[in-house]
Amino acid sequence: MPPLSSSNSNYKDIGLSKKLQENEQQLKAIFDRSTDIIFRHITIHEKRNKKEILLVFTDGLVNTSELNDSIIKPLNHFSVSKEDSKHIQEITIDNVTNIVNSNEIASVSTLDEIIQAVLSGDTIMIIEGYNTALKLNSKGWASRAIEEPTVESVVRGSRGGFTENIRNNTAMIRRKIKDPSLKIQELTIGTKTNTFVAVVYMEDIVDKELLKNIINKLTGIKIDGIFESGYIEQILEQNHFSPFPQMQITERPDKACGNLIEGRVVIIIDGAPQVLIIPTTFNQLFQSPEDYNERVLFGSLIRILRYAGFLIATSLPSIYVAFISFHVQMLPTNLIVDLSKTRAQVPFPPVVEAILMEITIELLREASARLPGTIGQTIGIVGAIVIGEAAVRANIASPTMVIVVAITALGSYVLPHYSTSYALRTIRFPMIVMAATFGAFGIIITWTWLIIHLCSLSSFGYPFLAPFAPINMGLFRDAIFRLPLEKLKKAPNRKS
Amino acid sequence: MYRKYANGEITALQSYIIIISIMIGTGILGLSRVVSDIAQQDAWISVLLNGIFISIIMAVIIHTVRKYPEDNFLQYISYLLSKPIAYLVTIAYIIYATLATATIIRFLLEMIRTWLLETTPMAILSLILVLTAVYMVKNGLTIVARFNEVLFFYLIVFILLILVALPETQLINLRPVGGSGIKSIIKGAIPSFYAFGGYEVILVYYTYISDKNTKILKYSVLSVLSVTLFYTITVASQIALFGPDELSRVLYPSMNYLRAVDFPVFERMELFFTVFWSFTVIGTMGLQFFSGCLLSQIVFKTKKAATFAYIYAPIIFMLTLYPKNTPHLVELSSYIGYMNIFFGLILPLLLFIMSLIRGGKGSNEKSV
Repeated sequence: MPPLSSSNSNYKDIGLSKKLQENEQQLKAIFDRSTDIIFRHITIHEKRNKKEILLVFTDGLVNTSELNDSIIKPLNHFSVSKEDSKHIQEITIDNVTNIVNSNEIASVSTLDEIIQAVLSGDTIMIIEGYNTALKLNSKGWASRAIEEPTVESVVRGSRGGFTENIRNNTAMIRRKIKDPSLKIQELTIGTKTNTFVAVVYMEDIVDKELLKNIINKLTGIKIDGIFESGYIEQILEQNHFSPFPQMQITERPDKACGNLIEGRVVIIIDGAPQVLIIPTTFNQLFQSPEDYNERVLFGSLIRILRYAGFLIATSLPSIYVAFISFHVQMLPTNLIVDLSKTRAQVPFPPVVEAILMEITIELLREASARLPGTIGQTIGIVGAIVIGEAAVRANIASPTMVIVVAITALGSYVLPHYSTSYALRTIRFPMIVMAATFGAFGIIITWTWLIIHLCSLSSFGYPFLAPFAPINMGLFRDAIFRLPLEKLKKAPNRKS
Repeated sequence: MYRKYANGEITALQSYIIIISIMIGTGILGLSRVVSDIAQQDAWISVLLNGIFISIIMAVIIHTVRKYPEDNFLQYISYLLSKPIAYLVTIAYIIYATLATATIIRFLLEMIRTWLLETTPMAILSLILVLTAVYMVKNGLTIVARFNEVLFFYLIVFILLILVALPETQLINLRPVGGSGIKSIIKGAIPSFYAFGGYEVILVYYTYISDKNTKILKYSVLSVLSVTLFYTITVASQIALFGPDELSRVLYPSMNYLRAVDFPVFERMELFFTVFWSFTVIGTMGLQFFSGCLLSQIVFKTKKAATFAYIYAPIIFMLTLYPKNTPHLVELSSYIGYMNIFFGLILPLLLFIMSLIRGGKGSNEKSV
């Protein structure tokens, strides 16, 4: 897989010399004090003379048994065996490919390409007397087995998730879409990390303008290192300060493939299992592959539940604060009596109570994410129950507040797209403050600002709030409820 | 979205929604009282006639503006009426739009102070609303249109609120139908003109529609007719509930209408109504404000209309604080009503007649 662009510009135009000795010295100077770069000499005894071959590879990145069996063994065998040397008199760069068993052989001539190849796990073979070298595929390193993604688990659907190895990930996509128009273009991004990035799309469905735009932006990235898809997301996104993500992230191959078939572009980065899906719209943050695996009625109802969860997670604490502080007359009389009994014992105004409880929940959330395994879960449960109880007993919070906070937390977890929960938490706090200052009017104004912000957001030129604004009937078939699959057959025309 | 025009573009569907959204605004609150003061129990017939009349005006407008698709407001008026008059009309419209925005904001503030926040000072609420308006128009026409599109879904919920008190209504209040006499009915249509106001903004926005087609005429008229239907049913149900005598004593019948029925969860439905209605009014306000800024940008030839948003914001802020109390506001808003009649009635007819006389294709330049 030759990378489209490499950033190791120091060695870009330096080639090899015909003398093996000089090549070896040059490479040893570059890889000085890297003891994991191995230089293996092989001397071939040909009919008339000896020939020196140098193999350069990185220990730990190569599959040593394959290297030994397929590359070193045939070369050694050639020296010894009389039959082989009958057909081939002299090892040249052309016929060594007939001796060596490797499934991918390419020729490289610049130092730049050789360094990239060695650092990626290929083996470089330099033959005395030639100024081009051969790159043999021998990649193999320890990697994680395919597991279910932790934050995107489904009840019905495949349990495999992407891994850190880009080749495994592209293979998982190929397994789901067996179509030659599925194109996988690779780039190298990052001047120091030289990370492989794959741009995956369906040639006949994708929007060509969008694709050109994405590839231009990617090749124009000048940054030291790319470690995860988030780096690319932050470079490509249009609005850095919006709480909402402008691209989707997923670890599930079925979600990635579903989006590919609808004409979107998937970007896979070597080294992290999360892939990017471009472009995205607001309603996609509420979609999960399960909606399509289940039947129409449940797919639609659960999706409506998710929208309700979104509304609850953003607004419920603010509604509580607004009602208790400003509009007590809105509540039924019985409720007011009970509420006033419990609230009378709390010394703080409702807004302080709300913010205290919310901050506690946020701390709990972060703590349980950082702590290992079972301790984290225990803290989560214990913390929630014990702290809630204790807070009520100590008259720091009223029981209604605890219920409100608990339902809010649940509401924010129904979203299938994990990054959106950050958006919810970010929006919730200003809304509580606005509700405390201006009551229901504050909530109205905050929602207005939110909607205006969402209206002006766009993901790579595609309006973020489609299909709600601009109303696009094609996308509506899949927005709040999901129409039967026969009606969803064609990829919707997303441009508006 | 690749923008054809510097100020953004809208689709035809968005233009229909704009028409509906800008018409449903502050007028609906007192509409039934204002009309039934004159037409008694036949106020709904007045409203209906008014609506039909306005839909005819809308057809006239679209028919005229359709001939000059690439000209903006200033250009086709200067073609039809001559340049100096066009500048005069445009500047008058800018003043009208600014005053209308200030009136709308002030009206909204009155409602909020009455029903939601009694003690908060007017200035702070006004400041927040003006800032919201500036934020809405900052990014151009497309964003304002999209905001109203999202609000359109709210409107559907809003409309259901009409049906709420139907069990309590007494149809006898509507009888005798036609008993007020033709004269009262027609006279009653005049104050209801203000409730329908805002549709003339299509004069400004027509040129920015990206997919103009022959159906625009049909659907624009349909938009006006649907608003008419909504208003007619509202007025009819309110008369049926209150009766014309009681109705003249209620300041905001639309609000008190909701007190007729008890709800299980919410004690006071009016707050609920206020919330939905506020969103609608904010949408209307954004559209009016932007039309003023847009025309200013055309006249003074700046790069973006948003510059004028910043300039007009303090002016509007001070204007909203000017009326001393609600009756003063109502008096001032009647002047706005007169300007509305000019821009909504006289100007389109004038343009229509001139377009028939002059014919031709307009200045046909690429719009700003």
